[in-house]
Amino acid sequence: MFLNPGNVLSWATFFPLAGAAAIVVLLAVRYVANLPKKLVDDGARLIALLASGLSLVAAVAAWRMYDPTDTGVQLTHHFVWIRSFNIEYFVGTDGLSISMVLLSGLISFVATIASMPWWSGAKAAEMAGMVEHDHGHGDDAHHPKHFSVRMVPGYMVMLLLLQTGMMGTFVALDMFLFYVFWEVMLLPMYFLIGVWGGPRKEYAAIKFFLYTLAGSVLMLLAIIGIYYNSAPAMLADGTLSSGHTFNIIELGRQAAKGQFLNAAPILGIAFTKLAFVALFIGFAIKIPMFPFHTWLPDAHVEAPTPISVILAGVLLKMGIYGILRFNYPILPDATAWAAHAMAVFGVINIVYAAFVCLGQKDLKKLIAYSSVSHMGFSLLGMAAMTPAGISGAVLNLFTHGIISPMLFLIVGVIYDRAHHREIEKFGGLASELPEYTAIMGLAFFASLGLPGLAGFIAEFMVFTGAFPVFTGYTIISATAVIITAAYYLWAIHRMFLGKLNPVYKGYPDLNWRERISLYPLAAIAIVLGFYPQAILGVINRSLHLIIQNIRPL
Amino acid sequence: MEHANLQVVGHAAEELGRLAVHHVSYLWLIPLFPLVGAAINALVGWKLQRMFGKKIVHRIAVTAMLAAFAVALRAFWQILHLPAEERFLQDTLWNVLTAGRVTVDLAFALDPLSMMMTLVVTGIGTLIHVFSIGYMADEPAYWRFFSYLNLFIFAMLLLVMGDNFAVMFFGWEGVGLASYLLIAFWYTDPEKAKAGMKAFVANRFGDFGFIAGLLLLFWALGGAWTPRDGGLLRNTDYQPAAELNAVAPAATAAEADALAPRVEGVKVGPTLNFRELRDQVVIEATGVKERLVHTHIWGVSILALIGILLFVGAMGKSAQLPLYVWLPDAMAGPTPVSALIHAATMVTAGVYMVARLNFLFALSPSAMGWVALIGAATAIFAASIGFFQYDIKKVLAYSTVSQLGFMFIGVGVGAYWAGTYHLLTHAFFKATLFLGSGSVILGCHHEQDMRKMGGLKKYMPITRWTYLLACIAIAGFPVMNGFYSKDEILFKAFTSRHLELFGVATPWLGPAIFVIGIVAATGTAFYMYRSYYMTFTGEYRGNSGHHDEHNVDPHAAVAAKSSALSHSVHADDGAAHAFGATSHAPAHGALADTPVHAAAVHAHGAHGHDAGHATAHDDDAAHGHGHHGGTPHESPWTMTLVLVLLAAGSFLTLFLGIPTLWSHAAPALEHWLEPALPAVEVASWRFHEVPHALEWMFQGIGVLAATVGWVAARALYKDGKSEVPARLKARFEGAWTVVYNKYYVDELYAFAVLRPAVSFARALSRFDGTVIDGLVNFVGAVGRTLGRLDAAIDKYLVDGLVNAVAQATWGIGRQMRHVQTGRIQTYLYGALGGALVVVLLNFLIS
Repeated sequence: MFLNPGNVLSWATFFPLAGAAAIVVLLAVRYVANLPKKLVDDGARLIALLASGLSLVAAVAAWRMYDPTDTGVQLTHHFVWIRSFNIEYFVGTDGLSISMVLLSGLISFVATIASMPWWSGAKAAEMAGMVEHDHGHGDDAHHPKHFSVRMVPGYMVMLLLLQTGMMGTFVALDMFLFYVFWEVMLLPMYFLIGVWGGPRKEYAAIKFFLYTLAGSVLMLLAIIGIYYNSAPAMLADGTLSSGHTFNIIELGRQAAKGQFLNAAPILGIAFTKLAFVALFIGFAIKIPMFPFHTWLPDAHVEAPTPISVILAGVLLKMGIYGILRFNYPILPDATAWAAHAMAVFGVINIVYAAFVCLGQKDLKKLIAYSSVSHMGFSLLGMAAMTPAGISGAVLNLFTHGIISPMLFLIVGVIYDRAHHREIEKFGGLASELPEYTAIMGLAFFASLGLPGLAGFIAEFMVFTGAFPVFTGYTIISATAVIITAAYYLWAIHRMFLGKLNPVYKGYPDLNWRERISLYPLAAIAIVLGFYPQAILGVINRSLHLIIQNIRPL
Repeated sequence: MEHANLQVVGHAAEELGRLAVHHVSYLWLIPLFPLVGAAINALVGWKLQRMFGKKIVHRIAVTAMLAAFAVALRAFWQILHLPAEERFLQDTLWNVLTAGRVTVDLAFALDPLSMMMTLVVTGIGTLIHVFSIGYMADEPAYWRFFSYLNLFIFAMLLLVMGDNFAVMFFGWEGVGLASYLLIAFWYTDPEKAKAGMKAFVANRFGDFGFIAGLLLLFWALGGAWTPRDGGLLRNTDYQPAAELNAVAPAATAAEADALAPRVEGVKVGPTLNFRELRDQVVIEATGVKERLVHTHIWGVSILALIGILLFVGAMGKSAQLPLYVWLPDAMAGPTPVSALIHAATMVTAGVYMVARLNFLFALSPSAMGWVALIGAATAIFAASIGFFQYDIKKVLAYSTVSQLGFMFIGVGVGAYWAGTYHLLTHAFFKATLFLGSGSVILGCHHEQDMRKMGGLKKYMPITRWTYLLACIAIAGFPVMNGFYSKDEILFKAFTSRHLELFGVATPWLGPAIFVIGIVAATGTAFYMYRSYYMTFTGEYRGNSGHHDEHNVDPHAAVAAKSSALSHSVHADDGAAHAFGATSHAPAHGALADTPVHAAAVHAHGAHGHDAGHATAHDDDAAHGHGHHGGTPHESPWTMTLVLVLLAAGSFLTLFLGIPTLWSHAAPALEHWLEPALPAVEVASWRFHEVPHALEWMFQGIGVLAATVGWVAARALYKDGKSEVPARLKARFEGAWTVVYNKYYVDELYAFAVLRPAVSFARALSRFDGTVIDGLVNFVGAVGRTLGRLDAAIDKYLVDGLVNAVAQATWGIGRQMRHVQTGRIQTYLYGALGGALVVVLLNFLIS
């Protein structure tokens, strides 16, 4: 078959890049052949859908090919890239990353769908600002044009680049390659927020960019430090590397033998601890962990809906993923040393952000903060280093990766119609938008951890896993079940129940674009609510392997 | 093996063995049918209703219920034919999750206890579905109502049939969701929507306790099997075996099973499974019970803590002090919902949970003491509020809270079967009362204020008789079932000498609870007969509309506002006014019915459909609502039939609880439940022995209490003639106001919990925006300032230096121009001077 275990991950990674290249070619053709704008726009959309769809197909194929009973790295694609620095092209997957590959492919595709300007009815399209006005430019402050009809080819190129960066980050098993993909994500994201975003897009985009870049610099330093303290290892072609290695798997093996414990201390601090902290801060910004979380609400509020979807659904997962991929296997002793602090930060994330949610007036900010709160569960669970805790932490990544995109799509639906997101200004929407209300209810309840929907299982596992280790913290964070319910239900109450605010009379209910992007996620949220073992069965063994090498202090 | 006879007193009870399990493969059908029904009506119900009329909707829902009930009966049949100690049917569907020691199967189990609950849920549930056909006939969002109702049954069945804590919790939260949806069913009314929200959030407080208790239990079991320090745990702080909790890298259910340690073939260690939990606690050889009993954490007995935390969960779901506040507000939902969810089934979940875990609670007299005490306090507290309510549903709501208190007295003192029996009897008589009130409300054109009723026995004979029978049952006269369960509970409370509080033995607590219970029972009889007399006797006051009394009442506004179906709330929607009940149709027809949103048109449309193929009850309903504000009328036969059946049930179930004193045999239900309640054999305590004469006396006291309440209510409220209530009210205005306003508990909550929480949230939100984000922006600003500074340095210092050098060179050059004169003497002088300087320097250096 076309996709085989040797190349499936590479295909999943580079289909979007190929799509981006195709769009660039199309643009070039446009100038040569003087094609109409509409044709080019639609062509770019089609190519984006196709490329991202193929990437999803490859991701699903990889998931099918993955053998969960084997704990090692699978589906590898491995060759030497830059010999002089022992840099290799090395992609592969274990249980941890295969779940993220699947999530990334799925959410990327959903985001691409959500970037389409399909709209039912001319009046409704006009309402959302998707119609090209003959008079003037249409992009004035009062009637901003919908992002889906602004500079379409550029948007699609950026979106596809971003997708390649994300997928690559999850499959890279070479530190340098990982860093390259990590940085590849950054730039498209900057432009997607900064160009296609809301009123304060420049501020949000620069904040996002600089914040993440600051983390990346620390990460880069740590990566270089780890590289220079590593021992030589075998390269893909069977030759021995010159001096050091970037191979993450190999580094893990060396760490298990205590390779980095003897590294020279820097400024009197043990190398492992310093490297751990540098890496951790880099990843913590991405999680985002208190107190590094404030870029997130701004980025979300200004980002167009599909970008919020990707941001919440995939990008936030990279923080936890990175810690589990780098810190845990390569710096096990420092991880044990830092576990307690991680748990404390996890609890702060959970409870603090939940309270902040309760005080929010902007719906999108509320949901952004709820992401902060939910990512805290992952921190707490992985800090406990029990099988249930760490499996719960990673399952939480997946389920949150399904639920939070739904939430942001839901915000997008109402924003496209009302052009504001202030909770207090709505009222009684359930009477006018019943289908929307139903899907919103499902997503909100999934997010607040209602059993039978995906969110609950992860929370429950984190609680059971963390309780034996961090009893007090677990109990404190369990209070979040109350606060979470309160802020979601209160939001539902203010927005959807009660008498219909006459301003919103005649608003159209969900259209097909919104349905296609929302319903599959809803279905997954329900299935995972009753059968989370579908994901757990794949991730369990690899995660248990990760924590086995860490001896708690 | 033979089960120990309950009459055996002392510690020589026979040792219990493992539960014998009969694996069957059809139990999942019981919850499946309601789920399918709910799904069909939720997804395509509005379309079906529009195409085929409302009938198709309730046919789907009721068929689902009947199917579930039929399968439940099939299971009952099978379980009945098994030997008592083998009555355990189990059906596993799939493994939900496994990670280390945590493994959860989607599995159902029926033992005598859950079998009883399943029959109650499906049986009474079916009846209430049928009742709803008539009650909701005018509701445009008919399909939505039945979808929610079926969803509720599905969740409730998960709750009672769950084989483990997780499935039970699925149901536990699922019924909470259904309850939320149904309370806020008429969501366009903000008060009703708020009531739904309140119910869910208040329950979440309970869930927090439930989860904490569950985690503690799971954790405690982790260490319970490993001998530490070579022997039993000493009475010190608990250190569970970390290896059990932490490192057991099972990735699949089979692995987890293989890794689980066993003692004499019994799986021990942390588990979420009820049967595994029961086996390891009940079977002495495992030593689990021994260790749990002697284990302390943070200076408290771990079992007491587990019990109390789990009971906090029960407090939420079963509306006990102090978390009961949501239940009276929950009356905002349609009346069949109040009957099904907020009386007969869901609110008893807490009682069921305690009964299910009887073998754990029985090991901790402290936990038992608290359960019983809270139950008793709730019983009398809620009963007192019931005295002065005018809203008939509010009376019943507080009555439910109070009766749940009685159930907790039962399961608290260790009379598990009695508490469970009261759950059963209450399900029948309270469902009768609620549905009776629903029938009254419908008959009086959506009036709930008892001051505007009266004399209804003339118009609604069937409703009246069934309501009266249920009153007799709840008051506790021996002709109906309520007497038997309440009497047994109070008697067992009196004979309890084993209760503890804070680990201190409190032998007086049992008798004290008995006294409280008797007072509460007297109150119960009083307020129930009060409601009966106010509603059914005297003259009908509906048309004259007692506005004067409204004006006198200082809190009339409260009553009107909370009156769930009150017209004053909905009357502003004129469009469908002719249909009475559908006056709220335009508002909530939407979610409801059709994306078309022509709600008023739709209300007519829906009605037209029904009229098209009208059955007797539809005709009745339509007729009834045709003339708004006319004379009351009896409800359609679908409703009265259900009332009669439930009233009959309230009578027939008394035979399940004929006391040993009368028949010299264990009551039928006690005998039936025995295999599911190993507590009696596990526990170290026994009920105090009292002579038979005393037992007779207690029964006499019970009947006396009921009589006192009845006579008082009759004297004060019969025919609405007595002036005494008004005078009493005037005399004790202050006390009356406090009680009428429910002791201002809601206001207290708003002041002490709600407002501080929201203020705190707002403050944190501002903190996040100003301080935390401010720090980030500050760093940004510092960076920018540094940049500017750098730019300035670059411009003025670095570049300035370069420029300065240039300037200097240029300037020097300019000056030098003057030197370059062209005259040779000047150059020579210069050369001479230079030479001198060189010589001088040379001289100086050397």
